[in-house]
Amino acid sequence: MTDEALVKKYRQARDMNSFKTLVRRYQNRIFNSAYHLIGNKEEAEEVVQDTFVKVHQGIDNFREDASFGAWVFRISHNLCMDILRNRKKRVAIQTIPLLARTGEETDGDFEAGVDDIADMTLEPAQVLDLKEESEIIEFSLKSLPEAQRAVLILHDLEGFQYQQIAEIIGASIGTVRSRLHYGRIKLKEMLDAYYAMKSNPVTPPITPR
Amino acid sequence: MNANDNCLDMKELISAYHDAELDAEEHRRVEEHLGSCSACREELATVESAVRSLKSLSPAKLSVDFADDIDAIIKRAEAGGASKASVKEPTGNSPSAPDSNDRANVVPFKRKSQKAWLAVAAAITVTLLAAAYFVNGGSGPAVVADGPENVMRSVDQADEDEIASSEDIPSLSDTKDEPSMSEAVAPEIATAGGVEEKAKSNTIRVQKENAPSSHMKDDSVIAQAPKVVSSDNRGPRTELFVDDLSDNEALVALSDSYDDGGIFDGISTDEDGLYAIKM
Repeated sequence: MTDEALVKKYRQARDMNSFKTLVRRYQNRIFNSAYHLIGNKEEAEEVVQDTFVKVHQGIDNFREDASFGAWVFRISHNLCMDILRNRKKRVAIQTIPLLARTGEETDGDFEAGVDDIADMTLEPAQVLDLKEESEIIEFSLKSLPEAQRAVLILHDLEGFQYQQIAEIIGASIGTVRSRLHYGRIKLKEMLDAYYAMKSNPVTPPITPR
Repeated sequence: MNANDNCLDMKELISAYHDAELDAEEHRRVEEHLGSCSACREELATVESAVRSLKSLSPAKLSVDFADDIDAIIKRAEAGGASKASVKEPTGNSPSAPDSNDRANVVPFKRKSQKAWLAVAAAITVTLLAAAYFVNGGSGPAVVADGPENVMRSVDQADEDEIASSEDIPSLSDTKDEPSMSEAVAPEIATAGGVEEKAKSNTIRVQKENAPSSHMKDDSVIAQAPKVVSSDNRGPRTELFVDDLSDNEALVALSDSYDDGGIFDGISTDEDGLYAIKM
């Protein structure tokens, strides 16, 4: 039975089993994408729960001709972005004075400045600690700007098409295409650099950009 | 046109080409360009490698299955929203408004008092009594809130009484206008405060009059506001309490007999508190 058929069945008969089936289909996918986007399992679990609470609240307004998957991921994406936004605000409170003093290139862009600080850089010792290749890949993914990271997760981990991603993140297909491409290029640059650092730990620290 | 002239335009299409997200015309153009541009072929190889790396990641999996509990999760979320709303009410007050099942009495005390200086003063009072209080096992407040007969029982069964009072808290929410200082104070200590709230201030006023403008005394009374609310909640008990206050002798006697040097009484009521402090 398709997602949309399950939605219809739930709407008509309030059949909770249909809703539970939808939860089972999507809970791990949402968790996986949320975890990679916000980098915290506890918060990612909260995102999963909150997503289905919101799905339940809004399911009567869901358009039957729309993609249920894209709709669910749009909800979870927005929840993740809220978390990241709040996190930035907290970081900004502590770092904005420092930015002003050091003349970081924020160009008046509050979030860009915070992004610069929030983005991570691996020190050689940390690279040595990342024994598994998957850890290096995960760390590199986390180090990408969140706009690129979100698109990479939705496409390369979750398998959404460009049009669906555009709906999920509320951007144009051209934006999705651009973020996806440059995100991949940047990810590969970081991976190459980390592998090089791992083989030669005396290499100076690498910055993602 | 040189193939390299197109590179900037083409590069952004390379991922889309890789993902088969181009229309036929764009696809053909990129393919043609790749045939003559090694830099863009390298770019495509970079894209392929990055995608391979990402796809090699094992999906993170939930440690629990939310499906079976989704009904409860939804209900809890709805109930939680309602609870939050009530807490935000300007008039509302008592910190005890939150969910009944939670240790509602704990929540209020975590909130920061608007009158920090009062909190500090209360803390000083509390500090003076703290050692004896903890030795007492926290039973003091509960005793005061209860009637005389209950007092004796509370001494023996302090834990049970405390639990009971915390359960009562939610319903008390409508009483409070006063910023409760007590929030900054340990809940147990706050018990004595029941006095302030309960009499709709009447009791408090009386106590203040009786109490020689001692800052410590005032502070302690204020600090105890929270518990007062809870005692207020119990209609019957409140009446008993008022009667108890008038019967100072019984409380004094209890204080005298108490091993902890009257701390118990001091916390319990204003007057008795004064008595204890003087001791």
